Amino acid sequence: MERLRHLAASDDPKVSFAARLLKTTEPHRVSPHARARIRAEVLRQARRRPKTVLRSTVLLMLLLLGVLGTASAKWGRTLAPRLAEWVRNGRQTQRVPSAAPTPARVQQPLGLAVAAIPPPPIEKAAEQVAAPAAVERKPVVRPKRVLPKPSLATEEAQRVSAAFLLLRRDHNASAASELLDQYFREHPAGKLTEEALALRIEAAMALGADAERFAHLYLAQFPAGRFRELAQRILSRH
Amino acid sequence: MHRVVGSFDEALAPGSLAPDAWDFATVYDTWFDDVLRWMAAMGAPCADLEDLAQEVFLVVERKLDDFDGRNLPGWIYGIARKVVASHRRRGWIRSLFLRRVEEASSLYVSATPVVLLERKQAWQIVGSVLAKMSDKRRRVFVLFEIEGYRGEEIAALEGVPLKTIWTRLHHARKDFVTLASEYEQKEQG
Repeated sequence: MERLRHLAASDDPKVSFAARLLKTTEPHRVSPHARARIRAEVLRQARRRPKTVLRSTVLLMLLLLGVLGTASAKWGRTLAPRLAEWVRNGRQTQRVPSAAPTPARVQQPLGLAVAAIPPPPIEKAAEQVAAPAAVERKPVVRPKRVLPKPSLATEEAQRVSAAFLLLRRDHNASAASELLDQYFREHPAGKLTEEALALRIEAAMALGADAERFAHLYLAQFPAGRFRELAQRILSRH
Repeated sequence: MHRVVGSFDEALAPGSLAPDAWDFATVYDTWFDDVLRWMAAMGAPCADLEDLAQEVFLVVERKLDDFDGRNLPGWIYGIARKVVASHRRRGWIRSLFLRRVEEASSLYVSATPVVLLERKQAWQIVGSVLAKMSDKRRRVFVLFEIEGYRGEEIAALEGVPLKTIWTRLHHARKDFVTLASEYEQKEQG
């Protein structure tokens, strides 16, 4: 195909004008200096590339670590507790509320030293716990605690503490003796046998009979027990 | 005026280009001038041509090992097109912030100042007319009419059939003649 610039002598004045215009143009000229300079620059940058790539990678990793650290800190401080609370509330709203409130757990005294304070009854404690929930304005559903049944040790403590009160507060040594004898029968290897024996010695002393027998029993079972001075004193008197 | 482009014949001959037979220095020496002409035909600003050529050959150097050995000029031409397009986008963004409008075309002002002065009016017309043409047509028109490439070479560069090039050139010529005539009438009127 003939080029337009060669049609300057065309009969069509428009084509002729366009051809004359194109004749004034020429291909782009490239200076040799630019060719050498650009070549040197390209080769220089190509040699630098590994270092640049390594540096960029390290910087990118550091930036990524920073972002991840910030995000995890933010997550742990604010978002995670909110999410956990949201999940918890979601689960609780799906639960069917029970008819009666679950009795609260009551810490029972385990020894004679703390047995002086009478433990509140389980029903009363449950009322105390349930009462504030009834007057709350906002019905915030709390996770219900499933309380375990009173353990054997708790029953023993109640029995021994009741005998303690009968003996020390009510000065009813015979009732205390009966209660303690019942305890010994029902719990021959009870956890509070030492305390019960000590109380039984006191009750026997109050009743004026069999104190020595219980003192011998105590020393036989607990030669280094906490109440050995009491037992030895009884035996030394007689 | 018609330039001899023997390197195209070598590059496009089937089986003549083994990828391992071409090192960067050979590619650079063979195609550097063409890359600048291509980018001028693509409408890259004359002041940025050398920087853009550097970008193109950095990419070529990096990717030459991955080149499959077919149509090397077309491969480099594709890289040049992407670089020019990217430069154009950057220029557009820069113009938003700097309120600076890039010059539309290089206008082939590679002559001496005296010649430039003599031909100033003609080049202004050519530049304004080329700026109004579509990108595809302008590329084909400039490569054929000004830079002196053959139709087969342009087809290899663009990656299209030869007939498509002739069609584009036909429409580009019509556009150029019409727009140049309108410009002349406007100047005379």
